Parts: sequence; C-alpha cells; structure tokens
Amino acid sequence: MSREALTGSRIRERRIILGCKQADLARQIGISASYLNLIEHNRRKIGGKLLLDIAARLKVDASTLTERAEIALIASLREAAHGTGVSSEELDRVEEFVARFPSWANLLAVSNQKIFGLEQMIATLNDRITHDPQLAASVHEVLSTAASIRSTASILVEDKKLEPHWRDKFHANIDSDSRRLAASSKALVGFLDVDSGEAAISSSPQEEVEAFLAANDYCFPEIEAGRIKPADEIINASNLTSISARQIAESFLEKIVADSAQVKMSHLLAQLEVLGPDLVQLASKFQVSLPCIMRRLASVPRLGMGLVTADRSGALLFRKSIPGFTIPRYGAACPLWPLFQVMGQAGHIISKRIQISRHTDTVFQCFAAAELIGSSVVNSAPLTEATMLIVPVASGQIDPTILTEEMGSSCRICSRRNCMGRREPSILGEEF
Amino acid sequence: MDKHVLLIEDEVNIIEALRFLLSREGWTVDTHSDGASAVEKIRNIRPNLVILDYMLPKYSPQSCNP
Repeated sequence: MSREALTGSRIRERRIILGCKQADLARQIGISASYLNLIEHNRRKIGGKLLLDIAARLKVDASTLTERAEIALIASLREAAHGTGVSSEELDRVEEFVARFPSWANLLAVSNQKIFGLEQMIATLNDRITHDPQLAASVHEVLSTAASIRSTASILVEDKKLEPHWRDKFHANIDSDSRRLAASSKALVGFLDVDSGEAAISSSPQEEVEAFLAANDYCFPEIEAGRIKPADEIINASNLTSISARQIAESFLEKIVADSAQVKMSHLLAQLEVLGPDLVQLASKFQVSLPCIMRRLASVPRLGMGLVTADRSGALLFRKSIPGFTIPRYGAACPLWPLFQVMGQAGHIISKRIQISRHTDTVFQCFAAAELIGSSVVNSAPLTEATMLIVPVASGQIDPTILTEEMGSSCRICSRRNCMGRREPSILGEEF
Repeated sequence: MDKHVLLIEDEVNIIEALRFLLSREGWTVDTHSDGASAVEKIRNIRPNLVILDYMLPKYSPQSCNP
C-alpha cells in the first residue's frame, strides 16, 4: 500500500487524538459517516477540497495527512526487522504501521539505532581486548615490571647477609622499576578508561590519530618546512592522549617529512599547473612512486581529495574520507575498490570512475597503485601497501561516455544487487 | 654436573636479580637479550637450562626447536 493510500489511517488517528467522533466530523464536513468510515479505512481515495476541509477540521496541514510516513522512519524499521524473522507479509505493511502508530514506530526505530550503537561499541572493545597489540604490549610492560620488583624485593627480604653494594644496587632497581610501574599502570588505565563516555570507548589509538590529522586538515606546513619536528608537534597535540596514538602519529608525520623532501609542496603546485593532475607524469617528473604523489596531493586541502591505504591483509592503515565517499571505520571495505585490485602489483596503476550509490550524482575518479615496503629478503615475498587517491568529479565535468562503475563503501550499507563481492547482506531496503 | 643456564630476557633489572639468585645457587649464568638471535645463541652454547622471556620482542616461540 502506498504512502498516499494511507491518508485515511492518518485521518482516523488524528481524529481519535482530538477526541472527535466519526459522525461529528462527517457532519462538519458535509459527508455521511459511512463514507468517512470508508475513507478512514483507506477504501476510498481522498483529495482536493474534501481533504483540505478535513485537514482544517483536524487542525493540521493537508500534507501532514498525505506524507506523514517518512521514508527514513520506514527505512529504519526495515533495518530493525532485518534478520529477525519478521514475515514478508508483515514487512510489507511497515508503512501502514508507521501511519497508524507513528510514536511506537519512532520508539522502535530509535531503540534499534541504540542497540546497533551498543553492538558496535561491544565489538570495538572486544576487538581491542582480544587483538590489540598495543594493549598486549601495555599489559606485558606492567607484568614485567611487577615481576622485576617482586624478584628484587624477595632478595632484599630473604637474604639478611646481602653485601651493601648489592643491597644498594637492588634498592636502586626497585626505585626505578616502581617508577616505571606507576607510569605503565597509568598508561594502561588510560587505555582502558571507559568513564569518559562513548567517545572515549570508541576512541582507539588509530581513531585518535585520525581525529588529530583531521583537526589539522591533513596538512602540516610547519613540519614540511622543517620549522617543527614531528616529535615536537606530537608533544603539543592535546588530542593524542595515548602512547600508541602518539607513536602512530609520529610515524605518519615522519612519512610526511620523507615525502615532502622528495616532493616540495610549492614545486608540486607549480607542476600541477603545467601537467594537471596526471599522476604518472607527476611521479615521473619528481622521480617518486605513485603512492608518494597520491599522498602529497591528498595533503593539499583545497584539492579536496580523499586517500586510503591498505596492507596486504586488506587492513586499512590510513583513511581520509571526503563528502560522498565514506571509508568504513569498522569492518572491511568494498572488495571491488581498485585499492585491492593493485595489491601485490607494485608499479601498476588503475584508474576507475566510481559511483558509490546509484541514488547520488556524485562521481569519483579513483587512482590506485601499490608499492613495496622495506627491503628485499631472499625467499620471502615482499610486503606491499596499496594506496588509492579519491578525486571528486565536478558534476559539469562528468563525461557520459566514460564507464562509471557502481561500488560500495562496505557490504552492510551497500544496496548493490547481485554483487559477486558481497560478504554479508545489506541492511538497506530496496528504496535505497 | 656443570650447571649452565642461559637467561634470555630484555629487562635489565630482571636479569640482575635472576643472575644474582642463580649464581648464588651455583649456576653459571649467560644472558642474551636479542629475541631474533635467541635460538642461534641456544644452539651455540648448549646450556643445561634456558630461562626464556616468552614475550621477548622479535622472538617467535614457535620457531624454538634447537
């Protein structure tokens, strides 16, 4: 049943809220009670003057009666019903449910969103506790220091005839270890601290770094110019609270230093004027790798380009989302992305025109290339990292003769049908 | 019997404490702190006993089969 066809249900609901009897309303608008009854049960279409009269009597806009069942609310309920065993017959009546019981429908949708948020939080915490190497290292640090203090203290207590130089030595060791234990315990508590609300829970070191980079618009001119060292920038960054985040951020800034030494920003901007955004020519001109040029271009705020890198396992190492192209924070990204097509093919570049959703007009030209990481080791496959530059294409510059491929962000929020790369069902209804 | 122990550990203070305790009990103590070459060290000196920090950086316990 279409949304317009449920106008009668909304009339009935509104009339009951106002405490108006069906016969009274019918008399006021000059129709029979039986005809109004048919309207209210969606068995007669209604529009024009009669709709306006009823709306006036019910003290609402006519549009409220015809368009009240919002698309977003219906979509939220479809999402809530996904995988819960709700029959298709009842799912087909979701619009009627929304029209007749908007408050209950809204409550259900809000509750479902809250459950989803809590599930994400649990998954994040579970992932951190189970797999986070930083957490494992922090725990190991605390345990090692405690073990050292325990061993040394035992010697001091049990050996009554300990030579003075050994006693002094062990006292000094306990002093230094206890300081270390205090610092490492504090760091561990800070890592696990959940008292600061949801934001603190969901803030992994990687997310802290991303927030730090976003706050700086991914651009660090003072570091590029050599006026500030990465370590000093990190010390002054109040939003980098954990040791792990600071290490990751410093490593990222060191890469910026290395990249900017090869491709100075002023030179890059000058060559952009001459060569245009031709990655191959730019890389050739500066004699650097394609990913290096991509990173440099993505650090120019006014160009508005996004960037994502992944290692050979498919884990996303760096994300710079741009409007219309959201890079997932949790879970895996779309396997159709060119980013994954170049993996293991260092030097190979792929350029594809991509549309993330068929319902938006935003189109992106994506360039992907891989590069080797570290030096070669005999009989050991080289590690590679793939980088993808995401360039928004202005709506006036979209060439309809160039193939545009539809891809997703991640399977869960992608409605692409019959996709060979799908790992899990989408939560989106077909109207998306 | 020769009592030769190899202590593989990267915490200096733990090494000192264990070296003190083991020496007092008559053990000859060798120490090593590099996880990457730990197995090679064991093969070279063939100690009677190895005390190993299981979470030593750059060390893979699964590779230890001297």
